Amino acid sequence: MLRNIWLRQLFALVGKEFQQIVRDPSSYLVAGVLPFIFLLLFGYGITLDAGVLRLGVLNQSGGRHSLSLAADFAHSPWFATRPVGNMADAGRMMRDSVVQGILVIQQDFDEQLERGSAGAVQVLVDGSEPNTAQYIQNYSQGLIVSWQRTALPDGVAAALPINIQPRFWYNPAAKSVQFLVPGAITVIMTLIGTLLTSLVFAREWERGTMEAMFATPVSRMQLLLGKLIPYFCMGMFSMALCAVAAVTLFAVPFRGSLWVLVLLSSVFMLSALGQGLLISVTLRGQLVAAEAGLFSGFLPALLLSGFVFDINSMPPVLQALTRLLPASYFNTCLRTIFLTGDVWGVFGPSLLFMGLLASVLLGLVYRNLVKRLDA
Amino acid sequence: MARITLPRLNLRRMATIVRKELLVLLCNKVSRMLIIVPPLMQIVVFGWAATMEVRNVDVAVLNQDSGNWSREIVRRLQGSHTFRSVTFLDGEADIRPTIERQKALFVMVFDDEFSRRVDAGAPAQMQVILDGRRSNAAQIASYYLETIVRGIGESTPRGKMALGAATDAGGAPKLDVRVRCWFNPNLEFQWFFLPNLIGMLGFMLGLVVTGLSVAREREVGTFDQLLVSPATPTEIALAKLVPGCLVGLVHGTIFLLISVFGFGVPFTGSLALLYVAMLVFAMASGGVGLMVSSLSATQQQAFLGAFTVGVPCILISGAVTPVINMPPFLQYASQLNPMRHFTTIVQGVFLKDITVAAAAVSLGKIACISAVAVGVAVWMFKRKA
Repeated sequence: MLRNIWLRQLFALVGKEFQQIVRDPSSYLVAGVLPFIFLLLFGYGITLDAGVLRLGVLNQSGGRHSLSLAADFAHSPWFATRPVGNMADAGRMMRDSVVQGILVIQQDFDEQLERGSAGAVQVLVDGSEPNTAQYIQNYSQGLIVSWQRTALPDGVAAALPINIQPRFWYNPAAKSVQFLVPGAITVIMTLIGTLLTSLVFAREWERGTMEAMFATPVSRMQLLLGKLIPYFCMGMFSMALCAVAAVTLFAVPFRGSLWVLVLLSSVFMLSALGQGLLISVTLRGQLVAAEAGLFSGFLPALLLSGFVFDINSMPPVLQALTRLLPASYFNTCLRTIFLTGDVWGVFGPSLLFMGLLASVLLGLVYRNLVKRLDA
Repeated sequence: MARITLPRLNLRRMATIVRKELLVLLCNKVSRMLIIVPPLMQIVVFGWAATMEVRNVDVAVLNQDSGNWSREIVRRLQGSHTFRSVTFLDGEADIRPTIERQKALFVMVFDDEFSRRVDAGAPAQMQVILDGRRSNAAQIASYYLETIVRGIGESTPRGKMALGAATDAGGAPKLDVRVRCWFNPNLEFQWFFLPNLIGMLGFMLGLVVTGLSVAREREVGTFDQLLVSPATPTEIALAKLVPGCLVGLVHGTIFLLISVFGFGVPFTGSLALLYVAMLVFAMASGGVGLMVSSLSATQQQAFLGAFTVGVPCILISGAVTPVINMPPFLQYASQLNPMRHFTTIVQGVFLKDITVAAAAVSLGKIACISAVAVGVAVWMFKRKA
């Protein structure tokens, strides 16, 4: 009987929280609209692939060989070329980002080649966007080498003896969208779990409804579960939305099993909720709680989880920091379950850490959730 | 309701509100800490974290070859700074778990004929299996590997022959290709990212500080008190913009100093231009923040609204990945994004010593956006008031 009352009280709290969520337009924004906008932006807007590179061609030679080299660049799918008149123009176009690189064929290029000596080619690259610059470097060098093989006498013999045959497993075309979309889901889940919940207790403190709550027979555990359950459901709902969108809209394969995805997301969601609720009970002000949520949850998930920037390339101190970040584990797990399949060697340790973190954080929330005004 | 007459502003009354806003912002210990500490932490942490360079790569090798050439490749790999560890696998069955568990970014496979073929001058194949879950890092690492293998290839008998065919009688290569990177010769990723961080954090701060201040007053109930004060709604709205701008400018200055003196990012352009741009940009972000807060009833709504607007603006600004690689509709949409034009200016001012004409175009666009945002925000504010 007593147990029954306990549950009924809990249901009442959960129901109240659900009603508050449903009646607040901002929760639709976070649970429904934001995930969608984010997925679209991450899927379409952010790409680490090269795209078509804009290249200016300054052909100072104008001879047979130089024209054939320039034509090879013009016909390449990687480059959109445009002729450039002189070096001053070239410099200005680079400065104002009209072109991302310039191919300079020196004046004596043909003359030297006819004589059997070295023709000079220069590739100038706009280094202010290093990722793009790297693509221009590699593609243009590759193009020049293959042009040399076909266009110059003896060129065929210049082929090098060792061939590398690269094969990308799980993502054969090496498209960045395939690993960015699972990463985006991590960011979205962190957003819902940490940012939204960082406000819930703070709001009650600020409006004074926390005091009213103290006057009821509701226990701390009920208070905690009353907040946890609705937001957990909301997070899982968004997760489902994201996963469906990833597979249908972005054609990301799903090679793992569904129940493992549910398990992983639940455990991660609990740790994110723990973080948000802890911020909320500790700081008690909506403004500061929201900022704390933003800086401790969202931004690290965006920048330190390995979502865009590879963790292994970071300095050791930061690598250690990412080990404490549930988002970095979840990110690895999501990429794996979408692209590779069920790999328990990856999931096991991650689940262990995220679960441990979730229980520590929720334990701290429970401890700090004192039913007293002066605490 | 919205008359096009310019309202007469009482500067003294506005100054009083600005003073009150700053007191609210700075006298609360927690809020003071939160506008000072985290942004600074961010620039330091992300200054180090954000890199597209690939380092500390773990590699695995399945070597079925008993000759010298495969060992030579592995030896060179171990000597390179890019690669951290090389693990040797016992059989083909080991490849899958090694990649699956991310023990290695890629696995190189040499078959038992490899060195014999190289010595005989026949084309030799090496297989490289890369982890597609980290395809960007894997791709870049494989470029490094290619460079190493090309170097070794040139010292093989066939390579020497090929080199002979590609060089003239004097031994000079027949094609002299030089690649040079302007503005950022070593392709330091920080040089790209840190200046952009000024815009990113400035935008978020302007949006959040301005956006929440109105919503807070409304929620706490002091908004009505403000309205019955002698200040007109226009004065209140404009005064609310100032603290956000100030915080943005102060942080911009700190970020600038850290980028230049802490991380050695070169500053080639005009400082005055940067500050004019920062001021106009701060107005724009404050205006957007005010607009959001006029639409929201609570702080939570204001914060989430600021977030919904802010993050997409940052993502399609070119501060993370180039705008030019985005689909056309996003490129058009990003014209309305003040962050995009600010990124162009910041990049130009830091690295490229941008031409005045190019900067003026971007600056003009930010100014337009800013004027519209502030105008609409004040109008919305008055309507609500």
